[in-house]
Amino acid sequence: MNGFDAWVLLLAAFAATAIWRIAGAVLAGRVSVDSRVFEWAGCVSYALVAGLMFRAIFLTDGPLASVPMTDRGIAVAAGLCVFMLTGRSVPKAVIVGTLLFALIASWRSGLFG
Amino acid sequence: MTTEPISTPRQGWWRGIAHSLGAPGIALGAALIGYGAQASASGLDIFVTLSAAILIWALPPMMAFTELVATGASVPAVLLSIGLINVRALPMIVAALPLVHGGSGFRLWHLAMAQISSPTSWTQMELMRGRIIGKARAPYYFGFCLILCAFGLAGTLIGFLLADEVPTAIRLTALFLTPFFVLLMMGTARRRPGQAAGLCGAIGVPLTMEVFPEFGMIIGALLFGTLGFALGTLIHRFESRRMGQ
Repeated sequence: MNGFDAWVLLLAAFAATAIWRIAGAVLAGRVSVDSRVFEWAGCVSYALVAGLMFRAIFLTDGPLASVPMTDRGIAVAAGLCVFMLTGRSVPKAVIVGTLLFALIASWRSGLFG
Repeated sequence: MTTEPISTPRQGWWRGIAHSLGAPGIALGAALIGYGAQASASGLDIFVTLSAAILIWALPPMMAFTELVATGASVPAVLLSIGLINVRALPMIVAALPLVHGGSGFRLWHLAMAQISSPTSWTQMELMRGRIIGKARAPYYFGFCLILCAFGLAGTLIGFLLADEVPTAIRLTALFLTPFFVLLMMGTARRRPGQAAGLCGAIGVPLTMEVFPEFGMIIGALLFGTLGFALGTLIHRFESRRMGQ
């Protein structure tokens, strides 16, 4: 594929994403923060993003699938424990969970001999 | 994070920047290292790769775009695939933008807000709900999102240039970081319906995606989001009644 074709495909991809963003912006202009519709839209978004993020960690087909499920589970569980014990501190939980994941992944890939 | 309300546009702008410079920026930048590496492996040039990050600005369609370019897909195929993947932006933007402008009617500049929105910026606006006053919200949002974009582009560049140099463990950690961070951010939801919907969606949406691969994402979000909304509202009413007794 030449450079020009890649730019044409990029414009198509931009159009395909922009249409939802425009629709969202127009609808959002009609929704008050105190309305039930806003609360419901927030819930749909919470369900969607939580589902996609859960899937990205535990049910992925991508490179993360090469890491055993138990390793991913241990890192997430450790992060969640820190999250609950520190009054829902996201930075502390992210640091602990991610460092633990990095250590396990390094050990599995032989970085520690 | 200070609990003092953010009351002026200037304060909003600088606090938005400051809040983005920590874990949110690092998590997003790390996630885009994986995208940069994949774009390089797919044969995209650096200008297309960076432009795609700015114009598409959502990881799943960006990853799909690199694969579609690599396989020489047609324009209609790109429109359909990327369009279907990014349906998820619609409810997220409807939930995020009123937190910035208060639902005061559509203005053209709201399109700029929609373009730079992401799960990270939405969960951050939810977290800051009630802590930013009136006209300070938009500067806060733009400050926060622009730093996220800067981290995203830096991550893309690092991934593109060092695709073969980055050890596997670091590449895997970068892929783990963003979903883990966003999940934790969602755990800070203060309202019962949001908490219930997050829990229902985490379990239900992946299941519906397995059953209906084409439209399971949006069916699951509508179904389990509505279930969470109903359950959370009931729990909230029950708690309010108990508090009143």
